[in-house]
Amino acid sequence: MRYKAFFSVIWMIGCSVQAVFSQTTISGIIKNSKTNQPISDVLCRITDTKQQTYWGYGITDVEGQYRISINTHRDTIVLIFSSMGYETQTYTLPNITQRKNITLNEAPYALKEITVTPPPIWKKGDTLNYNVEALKSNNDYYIIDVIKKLPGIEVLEGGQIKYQGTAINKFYIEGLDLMERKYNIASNNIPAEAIENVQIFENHQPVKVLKNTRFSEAAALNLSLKKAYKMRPVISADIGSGYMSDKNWLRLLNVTAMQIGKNNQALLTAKLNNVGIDLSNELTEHTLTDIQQPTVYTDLFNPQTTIIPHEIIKPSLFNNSYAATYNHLLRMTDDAQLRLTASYLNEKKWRNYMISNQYYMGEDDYWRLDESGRLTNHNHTSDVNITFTSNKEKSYVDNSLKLSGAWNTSQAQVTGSYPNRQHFHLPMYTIRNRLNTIVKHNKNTLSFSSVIDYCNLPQSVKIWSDSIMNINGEPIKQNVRKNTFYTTNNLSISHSAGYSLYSLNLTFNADVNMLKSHMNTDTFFKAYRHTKNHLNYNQYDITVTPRYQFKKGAFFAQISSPLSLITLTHKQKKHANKTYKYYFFITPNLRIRYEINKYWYTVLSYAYKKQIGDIFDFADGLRFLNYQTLTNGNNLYELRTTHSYVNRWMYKNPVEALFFNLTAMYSSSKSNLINSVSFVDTYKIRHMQEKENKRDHYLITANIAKYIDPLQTNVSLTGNYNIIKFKQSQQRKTYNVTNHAYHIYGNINSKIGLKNSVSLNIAYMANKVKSPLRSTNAIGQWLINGSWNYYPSNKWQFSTHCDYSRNQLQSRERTDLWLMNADVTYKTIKWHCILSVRNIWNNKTYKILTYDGLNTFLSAYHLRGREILLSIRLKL
Amino acid sequence: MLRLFIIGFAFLLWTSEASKAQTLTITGSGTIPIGEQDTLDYTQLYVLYKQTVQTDSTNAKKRKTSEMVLQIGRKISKYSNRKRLLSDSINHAHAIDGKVDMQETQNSLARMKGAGDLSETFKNHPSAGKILHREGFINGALFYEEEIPKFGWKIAATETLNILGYSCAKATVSFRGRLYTAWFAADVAVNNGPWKFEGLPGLILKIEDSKKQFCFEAIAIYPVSWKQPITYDIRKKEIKTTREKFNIAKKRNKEEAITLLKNSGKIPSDTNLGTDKKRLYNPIELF
Repeated sequence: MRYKAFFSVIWMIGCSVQAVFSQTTISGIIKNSKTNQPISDVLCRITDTKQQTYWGYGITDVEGQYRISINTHRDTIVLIFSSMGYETQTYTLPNITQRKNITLNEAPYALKEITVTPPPIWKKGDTLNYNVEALKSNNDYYIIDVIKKLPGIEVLEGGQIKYQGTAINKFYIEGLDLMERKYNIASNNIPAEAIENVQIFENHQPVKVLKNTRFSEAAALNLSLKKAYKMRPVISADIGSGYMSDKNWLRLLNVTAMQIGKNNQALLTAKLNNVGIDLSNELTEHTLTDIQQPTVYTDLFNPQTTIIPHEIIKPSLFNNSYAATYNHLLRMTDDAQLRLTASYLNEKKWRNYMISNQYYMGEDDYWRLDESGRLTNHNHTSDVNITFTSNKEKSYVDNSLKLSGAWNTSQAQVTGSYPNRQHFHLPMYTIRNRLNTIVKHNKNTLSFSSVIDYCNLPQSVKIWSDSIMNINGEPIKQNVRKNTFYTTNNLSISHSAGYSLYSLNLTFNADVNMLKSHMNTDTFFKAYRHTKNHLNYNQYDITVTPRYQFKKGAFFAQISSPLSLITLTHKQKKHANKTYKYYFFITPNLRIRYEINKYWYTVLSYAYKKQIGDIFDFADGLRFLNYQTLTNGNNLYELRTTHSYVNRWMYKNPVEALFFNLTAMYSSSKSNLINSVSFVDTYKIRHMQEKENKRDHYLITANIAKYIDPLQTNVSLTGNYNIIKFKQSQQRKTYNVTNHAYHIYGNINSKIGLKNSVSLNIAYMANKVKSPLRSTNAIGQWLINGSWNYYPSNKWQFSTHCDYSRNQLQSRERTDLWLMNADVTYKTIKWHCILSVRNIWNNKTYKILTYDGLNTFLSAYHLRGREILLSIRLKL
Repeated sequence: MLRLFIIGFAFLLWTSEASKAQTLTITGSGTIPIGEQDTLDYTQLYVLYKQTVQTDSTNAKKRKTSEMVLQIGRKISKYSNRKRLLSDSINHAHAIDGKVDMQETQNSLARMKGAGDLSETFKNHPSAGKILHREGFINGALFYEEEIPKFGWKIAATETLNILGYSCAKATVSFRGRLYTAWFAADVAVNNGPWKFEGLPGLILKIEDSKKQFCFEAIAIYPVSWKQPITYDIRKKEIKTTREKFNIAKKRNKEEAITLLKNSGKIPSDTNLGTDKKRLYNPIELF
């Protein structure tokens, strides 16, 4: 026992001696390198080489002296000197007692970049914020990939963005409207990693003058950039090449350059590909809620004899596309902006198809048309738009001048029942100026807006065929020219008093048109139809609209009743007389909105509309739309009245990330004309027939979306049910048709841990048509697509994407299609390398059947074969 | 309730008088302080703390929360009430513009409503290595100076806590009768913290005593690139004392408020305020 105690004491003394001997002291003086003055309060830390464990620390006194004693056996220590306003200095030293005098350089003080994870969705005032970092998956490269997943936001097939079922009214980048309607260019090209938050400005009134007087129900979307991506050029590029079965080499090039500053924003894109990416889609001008839509001019021919149904057949697109856009916004003052946007597209798209259509001829007789061929559209368009906007508290001026030209052509090579070759020239030239001015004085607002359009469509088709009517081996030539001058001018005065706003609008519209058409093959038709048109058609409207708006707290109501006086004149060149028609319309409408609480609101609206036809109603000479279809107006003029009732219920709870909307709509329209089809020889002739035409439309649609934060999963479910009752006229007989259509669409996006993400979309669509001929069972279509992404490390990513569709062809016949793609990506900070294989199973055909109550349309499309593509994605 | 209001108003009147150097007389009764100010330094780093104090040591539910600001300059730092800081800066700006009236006084009082702790703690002032702590009481404004205490911190090597995105290391210390646990951010190279605390190799973002009666936690931090002065209000009637006497005065101010108010001569002697009702005092420094 005594020995034990003795040895214990000896061992303790030994240990303490060793401790004393292993203690190291580092001391010194720290001075300012510039002034040579000692610096107090410098933090001096001694850590392990990984800088994770503190062994000791000290703080300099007023004389800049420090002294730190540590007790460690390690050979090497790390000495760190840091102080606010000075550069941090780090030294790796041997673990021995020593003196270390240093000097510190002055440096501006900045806090470390902190990564604070905000909640994925939060609301501040009227702004709903979606945190991109929290909601994006590793494989979401462009911001549109993230926007598509956001609960409450819906992205339609063409790229249009809706919030809670209503189209947005502005697409901003850092609060500035760089893109206006063509926001696909931004959403499809801005990298997701550059965006901090996607924000929704609810009830957004973009015009400052109207902010507290004109209530807006629409929302705007804003992309708020991360600090590191502002005020500097951000360049990304995709360069790829590959091979498709059938010996086709593939190429892909996308270059996007942007600089987003406070006063200057620019976005440049340049693209080319032949991998099936439709670039014209990116230049689409979207509808913006509450903002007057520009008049849309459509081609005078329809090269396509059948309608292409759904996006699943994207792989059926063969293309060779080039596009470039330049978008620049200059903020001249706090309130004034100048914007220039320009785009150029040169795109050749073709599809190989087969159709087998059965048209009902009456009395159990059907006319069958079999056709296969290739339709090639060559779109060659460019446009330039210059806009000046001054958005002040007391006044608003917005002027936009747009010039656009399209030199499109289409070629159809058809075999089957009636082999032929068609060549369409579809040029279109438009010039448009839009002016909007608003001035506010006390409680009165005076506004004037004006749109002036000119459009010239000198279009033509040539048809070569042995089997259909022909003249001495010469092709059929159809020329159509349409010139339109359109202007609408609106003067409005409004006065606000308390919760009320009274306004009176005076609108003047002029629509001046000339249509001239001629075909060289009148011998066949001459017997019973004219084959020439040459007419002038002018429409002048004067509309007075009294409007009353009431907004108090959560309640908003608006009632207006436009009174329109319309004068129509038309003159056929072959007749000496000018014909005049006069109409007087009163079309009241009402809208009520009530916010029940901070989560729920409801909207109830009623609208009464009267619409009249256009120049084509008076064109009583036949015109070819394509080799098979002709049209004429029979000199009958359409007058359509529509009543529509809408009730919407909206729920949003950003805290729970739960969104819901339900819309019920009924609309009933009546027209004096019915669109009728007659089959004459090998032709389908569309014409108007004077007969009461009633159409009822019932719609119920609902969407529920929820982001489940703990599971990092977004779930959404959409359903809609339509009943449309309408009349269809064929071979001079009229049939009542009822179409029940329903569509259910479910979507799940989920991140599973840090290494996996999955997405699954399931859609079922069905149509059930009832007509006097027959009632079909529902013709159903399943579309399921899923993708799975696996990230074994920060550098590697494996993705697979699978599409499945099942289309019902006949009562018991179905067609299934599987498409599978796979990608392998290797990533570094600056570049990604992606190897993609598309259509792995090399499926070649997609078939679909549709039925409109009388006629059956069976279409089949040739799909792109298996393809392999290697691309490099660079970031600067 | 009325009694409390009179005490509160009288107290505000008193603080204003205690600190006035240039007093503007306004319509109605009362004055507001428009004191001369010294600018001691300029803020480099602004840290906002939520300070929670259990006012009654026997009742954990009786807690008072104050938003306190730590303004850290090149040499000097100031720990003071956010509402007071804001109100003082507005009052000062209005005094310079001559915009002082009854309405503005009421605004000033409204701004201070629920402000909580109105004490101020300066580090490295009036000289390097010193602390100056000041507070207004019913019977006079007091301040004291002391050497910056030598805290014997013990750093726990392994534990960390994330505060405002900063990874903070843990340290413990026993200081004037209480055992504290602090969390400091080595990435913020500042030897400072709330109240008198400092002496760690990084800014103290959270500190709490073992009984959870005093808690200081940072809720915002940002560098200040514009010239935000660290000011010192000159109060001519402020009395210098020692830390011990200051703490006794603070205890009396809490426990004998009505007696002190009656004796102060600031309200008519016949005002019926009742008698002192013992209010529990829970000091941060136990010795």
